[in-house]
Amino acid sequence: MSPSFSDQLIAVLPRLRRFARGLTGSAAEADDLVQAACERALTRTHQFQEGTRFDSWMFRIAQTIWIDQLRSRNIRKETSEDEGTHVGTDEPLRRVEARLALQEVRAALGELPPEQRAALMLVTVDGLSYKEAADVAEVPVGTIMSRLARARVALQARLEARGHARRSTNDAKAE
Amino acid sequence: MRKPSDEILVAYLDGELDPGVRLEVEACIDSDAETRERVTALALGARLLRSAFDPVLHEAVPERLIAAARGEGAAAVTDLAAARKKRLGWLGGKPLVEWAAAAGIAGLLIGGGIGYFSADQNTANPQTASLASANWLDSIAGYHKLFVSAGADDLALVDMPATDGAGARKVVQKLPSDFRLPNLQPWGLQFQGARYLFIEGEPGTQLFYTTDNKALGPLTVVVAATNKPDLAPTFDRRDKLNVLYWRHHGHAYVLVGTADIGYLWNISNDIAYQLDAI
Repeated sequence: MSPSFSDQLIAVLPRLRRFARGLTGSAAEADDLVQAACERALTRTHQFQEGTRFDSWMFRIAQTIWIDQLRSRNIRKETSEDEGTHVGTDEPLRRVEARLALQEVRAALGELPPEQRAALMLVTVDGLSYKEAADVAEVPVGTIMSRLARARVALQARLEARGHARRSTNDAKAE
Repeated sequence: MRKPSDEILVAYLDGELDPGVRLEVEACIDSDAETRERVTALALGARLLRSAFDPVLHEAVPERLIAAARGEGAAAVTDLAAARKKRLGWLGGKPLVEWAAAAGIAGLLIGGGIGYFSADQNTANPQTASLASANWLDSIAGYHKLFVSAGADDLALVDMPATDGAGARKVVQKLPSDFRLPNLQPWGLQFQGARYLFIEGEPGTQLFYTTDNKALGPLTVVVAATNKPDLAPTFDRRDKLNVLYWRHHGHAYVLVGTADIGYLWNISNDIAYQLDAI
C-alpha cells in the first residue's frame, strides 16, 4: 500500500462517515461500515484507477457493503423511538426546536428506501453530480434523477407531516 | 412551459438542467406561485438535510477508523451485524441469581459511594454543591466509574440490564408514568441498563449508556424526583468526570461522563426535549 493511498483514505473519512451515517441512521453502525469499507479498500488497492475520483470509489465500496448486508441479513435500521411531542415553553425552546427539526430530518431520511437514501446523501448532502452519483450507485443517470425526485418529495412530505403533528400537539398543549 | 415535474424541479435545484430547460423552469417559477412554493419547499428540505448531517464532518474521527485506514486495524469488520451484536452484547446473558448478588453489591455501594472521591478531588461549584448536597453527585459519579471499570467482565452495578427490548421496557415500567427512556442512539450511545437509587429521599434511576466513540465515552444519565426548585443546567467536575446537572418541574437530571462539556450540553438538550425537561 502506498502512503498516499492511506493518506487519501484518511482524508475522506469525515465525508465517508457522514455518508455512512445517512445510510445506517446510527453513529456506531456507520463507523462499523466505514471501518469495513476501509478494510475492503486496502485489500483492493489494485482496483482503484488512478485519475478517477478516490472519494467516489470509497463511497461505492461503502454502499456496496451496506447493500450486501441489507440483502444478506435483512438488517433494517431499528425504528428509533418516535420523536416526542413534548415541547417546553421557555427560552431554550427555539434552540431545541432547531435541533429537533434536524432530528426529524434524519428520522425522515431513515424511512426512505435504501437506494433513495443513498442518492440523497451522495447528491444533496455530499454534492456529487448526477453522473458521479450514478457511477457510485452503478446505475444510469436517469435512475439517479428519478430516485432523487422521489426521495426529495417523500422527504418533504414526511417533514411536513411531522411538523403538522408537532404543531397539533403543541396547540393541544397550549389549550 | 407546462408546470415542471418534480424531477425537473429537483434537477433544477441541483444545477443539472441544460441552460434552455433551466430558463423555462425559471420563467415558470416567476409566473406561477404554486411552482415557486414547490421549489422553495424542496430547497428547504435539501438545506435541512445538509444541516442534519454536516455536523458529522466536524466530529473527531474515531481512532479505530484512522487505524483501519492505515491498515493497522485489529479485527476486521467483515460482518456489520456481528459487529453490532458484539458491541451491544457484553451485558447479555446474566443469570438472575447473579442479579440478586448484584443487588446486594449495589446496596453496599449506595452507602459506600458517598465519599468515593476524596474531598480535595471535588470541585463542585457553590451553586451545585448547595443544591445537590454534594454527596449524591459523588455517589453517581462513583457508580459511573465503577460501571465503566467493570466493563465487559461484570455488570453487577446494573439492576436492570437492557439486553433486549424487553429489558428497556421493564426499566420504563418501573419508572414514573410520564418518564421516557432517553433514546441516545443518534449519538451512538447504546442503553445498557439501569440501577435504582434514592436521592435525598426521592426515587431515581441511573441509566448507563456505552459507545465505541472514544471522543464521547460511556455516559450516565440520572433522572430523579425532587421537591426543589428549578435549576438551570450547571457544569461541575468529579475527579476526571464532567457533570451536567439541572432541575425542572420536580425532576433532577444529571449527566456524567468523560465527554467534553460541548457533548454533554448537546446531549442534555436532546434529553431535555425527549423528557420534556426544559
